Amino acid sequence: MWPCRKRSDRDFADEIDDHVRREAKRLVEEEGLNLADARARALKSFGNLVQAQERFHERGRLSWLEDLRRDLVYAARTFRRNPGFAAIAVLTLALGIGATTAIYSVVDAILLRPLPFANSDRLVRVVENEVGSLSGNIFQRSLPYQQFLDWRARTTTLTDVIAFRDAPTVVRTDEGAKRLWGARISADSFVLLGTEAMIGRALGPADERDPNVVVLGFEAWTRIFRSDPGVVGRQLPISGSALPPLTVVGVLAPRFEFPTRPMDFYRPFDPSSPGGQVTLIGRLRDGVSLSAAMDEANVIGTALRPPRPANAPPLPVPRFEVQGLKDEIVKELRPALRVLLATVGVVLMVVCANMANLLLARGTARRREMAVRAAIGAGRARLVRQMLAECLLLAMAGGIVGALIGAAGVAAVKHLATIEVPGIFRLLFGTTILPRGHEVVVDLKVFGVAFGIAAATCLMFGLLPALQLSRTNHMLAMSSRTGTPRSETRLRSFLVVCQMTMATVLLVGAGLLIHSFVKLTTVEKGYDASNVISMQLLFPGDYPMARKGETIDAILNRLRQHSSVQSAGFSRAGVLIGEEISYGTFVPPGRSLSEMQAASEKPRLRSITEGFLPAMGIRFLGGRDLTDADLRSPSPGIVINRRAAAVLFPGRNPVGEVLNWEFNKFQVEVRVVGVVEELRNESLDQQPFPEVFVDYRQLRDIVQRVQAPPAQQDGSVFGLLSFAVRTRGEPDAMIPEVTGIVRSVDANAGIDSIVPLERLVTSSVTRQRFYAVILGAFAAIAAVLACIGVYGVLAYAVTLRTQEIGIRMALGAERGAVLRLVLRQGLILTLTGIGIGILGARLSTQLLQGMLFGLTPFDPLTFAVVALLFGAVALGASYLPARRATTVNPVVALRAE
Amino acid sequence: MSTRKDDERIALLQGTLDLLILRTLLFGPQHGHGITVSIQRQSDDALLVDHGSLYPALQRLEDKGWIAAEWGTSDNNRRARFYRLTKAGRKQLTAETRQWKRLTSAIGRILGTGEA
Repeated sequence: MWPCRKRSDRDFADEIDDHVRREAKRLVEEEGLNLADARARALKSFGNLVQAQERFHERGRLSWLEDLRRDLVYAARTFRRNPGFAAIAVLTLALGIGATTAIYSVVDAILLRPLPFANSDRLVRVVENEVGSLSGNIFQRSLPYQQFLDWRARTTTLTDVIAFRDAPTVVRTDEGAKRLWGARISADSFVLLGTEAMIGRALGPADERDPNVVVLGFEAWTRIFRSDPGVVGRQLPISGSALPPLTVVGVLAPRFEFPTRPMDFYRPFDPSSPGGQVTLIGRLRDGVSLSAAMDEANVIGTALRPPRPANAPPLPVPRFEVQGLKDEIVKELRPALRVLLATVGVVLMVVCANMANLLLARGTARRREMAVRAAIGAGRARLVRQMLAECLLLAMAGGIVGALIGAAGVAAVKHLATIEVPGIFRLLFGTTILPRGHEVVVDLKVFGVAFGIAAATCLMFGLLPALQLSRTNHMLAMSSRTGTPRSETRLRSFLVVCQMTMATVLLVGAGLLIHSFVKLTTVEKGYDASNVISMQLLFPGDYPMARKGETIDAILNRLRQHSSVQSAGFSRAGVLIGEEISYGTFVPPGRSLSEMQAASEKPRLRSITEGFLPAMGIRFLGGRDLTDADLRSPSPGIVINRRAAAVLFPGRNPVGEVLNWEFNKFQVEVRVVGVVEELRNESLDQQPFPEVFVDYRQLRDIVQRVQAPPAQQDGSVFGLLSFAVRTRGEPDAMIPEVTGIVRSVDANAGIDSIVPLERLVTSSVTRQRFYAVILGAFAAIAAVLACIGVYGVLAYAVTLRTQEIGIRMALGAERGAVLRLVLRQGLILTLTGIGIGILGARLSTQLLQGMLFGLTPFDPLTFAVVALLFGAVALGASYLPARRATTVNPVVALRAE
Repeated sequence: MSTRKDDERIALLQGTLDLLILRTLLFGPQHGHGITVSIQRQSDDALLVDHGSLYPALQRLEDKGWIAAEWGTSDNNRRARFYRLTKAGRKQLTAETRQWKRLTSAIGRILGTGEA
């Protein structure tokens, strides 16, 4: 075929014009008409001139582009005429696209993308599991540096084995003591991880010969060295710590998190004085499976590590495990992310169902318009193209708004996941519940897929009216509204039932999480967080224990003198820190040491001062708080909680009872002076445990008599240096005053964290709030869309049945009867959807196991409340069209067609 | 000249217009109006050429390469777009004529009025 030469419209018009003139001339000459009549007849005989020109026009190469432009303009105009439809459709699409984009972007960054290290999917961590003697939980032990060297020499399944160890240190600064988060790391780690420094150099194997060098984390570089570009060669300010002078050799790029969180500085191990326990990281050799590596780890580990004590409780897991590093980082979040993925998938389905429903309704409403346009000469292809343009416009608008929602969603998810806490709590709670959260960005690929699904739905259901047209008789379609096929009504009802079902499943899931969250936040904590300031102090590393005690006492004295302070006290670790110790064994009269040592629930020990328990609002069930006088008594006082009372003195009032606190070489007689309510110490969702509170000065005497290592003495007695201050007014307002008191008592003391306890409590349930809010939001979206669906179907049904309703009313049907007629239809849709949804929820809420507190995934109350509430709301949506049906004027309705 | 009413005329069967156009052009280049008049005259006004569908048909044939067109000057010195048969068009005409004859004779046999 020849290349198609483009003829201009003008050229074609000229030809037609020529034809008409010739025909007119012929008519004048051959049939004797006058010129005007001849011309009119010529034109008439030509048929539809415009159409002929149009047909010519359409065969042009580029005309489709202009058609598209015209179609888009026309589509925009139709949407402007019907802004309600356009707004709902665009919003529906945008919500679906946006929600999917946001959640999949998060999941992609956390679960799917490899860690930012060379060959990272082969990185593994070798752990030794042990059962905690106090908690019964499994924890991971670390091993001495020397054993790491042996392990590295023996292993054949791993290459690039490296070790690291947290080595925090407290240093003096002009603003008081500060904690630096340091890490010891094998000198060759950075080479093996493929990490290079941003400034200077990273550590290398040669640094083992001169281990007093450090490479800084990015954040520490900005904070400690104020982003000094000439930092290489400067010394780390570490006065007051036990560290030798350390020279900076480089700064790492931002976001280097190895293995799980950023450190202030990294320092090579000193092979001449290794000390300390390390964690092992390695890379699986090519072709070696995780289970082969694990088998080998159990052989090497059993040979290297001392055997477990004979009386140790059995381990429910292998003693040595090799875990994928990324799996380990995301392990905790994986089930929740699965739930999120499933949820957002369901939301997308609801969105598609809603779009289908909207477009079907719109298509039916426009049947007449289509028929008219076909009758005046629009080809079927033309109509399809017009519909295509409308779909395209909807999809584009939905896509743009969806991208915005997606971006906002990612920001919102990150914000919701962020935990804003100071000091030590950043380590305990983390700074976000999303590991690798900083890597989350809006993923264009994901956006493309979501957009594609939504646009495909648009096309599928948007084109239907134009395609159907070929099967309908234009005349019939133009003249009557009753030409709706029953199959379409059935399809729309089916879609609505699907929407209701999916929304019900999501609502039940969200309901469970919200119910669980409410239970968690209203649980009896055992303490009263309102009006309490939680403060953690830091003393320089070179402070002796005596100096620490004096400073603590002086600070408490000053605090108690303040008129706005109700009570104040010290504890080695406040609530939500969850650092438990036990020391010696408490043996009540009439019981034996071995009996108490074998007890399943051993009391944990907490060193405090007078005032701590009242400041925390912990209720006394009997007796009184500790006093200074108790220290000097021959049998010093202790306070026990209710559970400890049940363990030590079952069925008796323990107040006033004397018991033996036994150690290897000696024993101390103590007397119970008070019993307090048990408290959820570590976290709100953790069961209380038996606890014994003892004055820190007494514990200090004991650890000194036991001759424990100095670091252990210090840790047991002073721990994290927590203070609780109960204020008379807003705790926030008192924070500057408390800070001032600490600074004036001892300018060397640093404040690690000072924050209203209530805020800490709120932050401690960030994870649970995150689940509840996100699932709640998605369920709400799905529910609203489902209600729009119910409303749409009923409103349309009422329009279709206007005549019928008119006749019924003319024949004497009461308004109530008409109302019931429509409501019944709504009720059937609603009940079917919710009924199937409840069944679906019963099958799927199992996924939430492990995310719920205080209820099962099948909590009947939540199921019932969701069904009732959602049913009521959906019926409300049916009521609007039903009421409109009752306002039908019989006369008008009958005359309408 | 013709006094026949329009509805006595036979509307052209789909596809036959193409054949008639090609056949008309066999006698030499002609413009659109000339083709119409020529077809109607040669059929003694029995066939009705819808002026509106003539031009799309011409366009179709031109696209297929069976006819070619260029602007020229007609007998009365007016500019007109003249169509002429191409080589491919000639071949197509032969093929279509043969096919048409087979079709009409077949239908004629069925209707019992055929020319055998």
